[in-house]
Amino acid sequence: MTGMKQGAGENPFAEDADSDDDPNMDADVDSESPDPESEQSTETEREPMRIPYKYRRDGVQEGRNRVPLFLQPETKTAERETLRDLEDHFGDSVSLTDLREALVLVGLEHADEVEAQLEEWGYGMTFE
Amino acid sequence: MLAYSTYSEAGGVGKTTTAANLAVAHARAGLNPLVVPLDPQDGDLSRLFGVDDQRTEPVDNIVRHMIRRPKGEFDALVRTVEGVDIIPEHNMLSDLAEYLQREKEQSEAMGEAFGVHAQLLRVLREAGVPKTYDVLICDPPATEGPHLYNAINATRSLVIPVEPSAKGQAAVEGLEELVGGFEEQLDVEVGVLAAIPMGFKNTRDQRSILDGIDYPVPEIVGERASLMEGCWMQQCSAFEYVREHRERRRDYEIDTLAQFDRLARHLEREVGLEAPNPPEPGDVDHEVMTV
Repeated sequence: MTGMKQGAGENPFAEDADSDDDPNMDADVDSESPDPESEQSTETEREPMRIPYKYRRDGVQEGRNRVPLFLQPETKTAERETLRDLEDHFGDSVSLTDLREALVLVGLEHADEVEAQLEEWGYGMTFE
Repeated sequence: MLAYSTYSEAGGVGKTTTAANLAVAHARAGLNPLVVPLDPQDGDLSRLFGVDDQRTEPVDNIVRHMIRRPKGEFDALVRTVEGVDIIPEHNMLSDLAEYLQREKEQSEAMGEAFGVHAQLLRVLREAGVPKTYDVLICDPPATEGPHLYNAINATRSLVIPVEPSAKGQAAVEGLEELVGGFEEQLDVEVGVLAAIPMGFKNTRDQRSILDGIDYPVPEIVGERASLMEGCWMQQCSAFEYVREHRERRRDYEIDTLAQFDRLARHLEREVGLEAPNPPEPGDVDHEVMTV
């Protein structure tokens, strides 16, 4: 039973709130974005300094499209624990939306482990 | 600013009296609290403090401000009782969902966004509440809907009076689900400042349920039905009731007042807020400094 954080939540009146000022609970409108720039740094070429995505955007949803996500409870718990660990690490609040996209990006780099997880769920079973 | 919503799944747990007495406890210590109760039912915080006399009148009220149809300034809504500023509840709260929905459709037709669950936050921001007040307490109804969501969104922290029973435990678990979904939708993070077991009789079952609460439990409040009923009768806080309406002071009631004082200090500490003039916990005759 550790869904919610112990202690204060975030400050709703923070000037630099990372969350949308005008959230739309039931919005199914995709946020308009010309083309979200890929955030993966390429190690091969030295890029000129540019402002990181977190500081470039007005809100966490900027440049992103909404995708629904259905998680098993234990997955959600694990995700939350990771979020807490990262917040401790950075000494700053970490947006769940950012964490999720980071998880997807890193997951995409680890196709073998993803395959193993799917097999655990029953993919690739043959019935002969 | 310390901001929190009181939440309990059902009536009778003492959600409203907790909000009211904590607000007075903050005020006694020299802080400036604002209470925004949002319960569309009678038997709400405005009634407890006797500021519900205009709830059926066609007067300006919080709902009008939330749908961008105010009739006056936000400050003009405020009523002050026992050092606590209150935005009185109004019968328009019964139809809040409908009003918000209509406003949303109207806005979208104009090509604007209108977050139905962000309107209380917007109103409080625009009114400069974080600059004027030290503490914001929302007292929403427990049923899922725009009242509860607007309150959680405007405070992001919860104080949960909980009945130490299997029912109470189920309610806390239900709340986790509700808040979890809400956090994801809005991409906000909600924290629990404290769970407050109310009506504790120290049975074995109750003790095991308390052990299962994963949130900070700074105080465990005993059964104080007579004190709370007295508050409703006289329309005042427990502090005022013991001071003005009890012929003799009962130690166990003074203990309960001390608990509200200590709870208020605990909540203030959680956000690093220091009260300028904190009383000795339970000191009924503590002089309130007025600035």
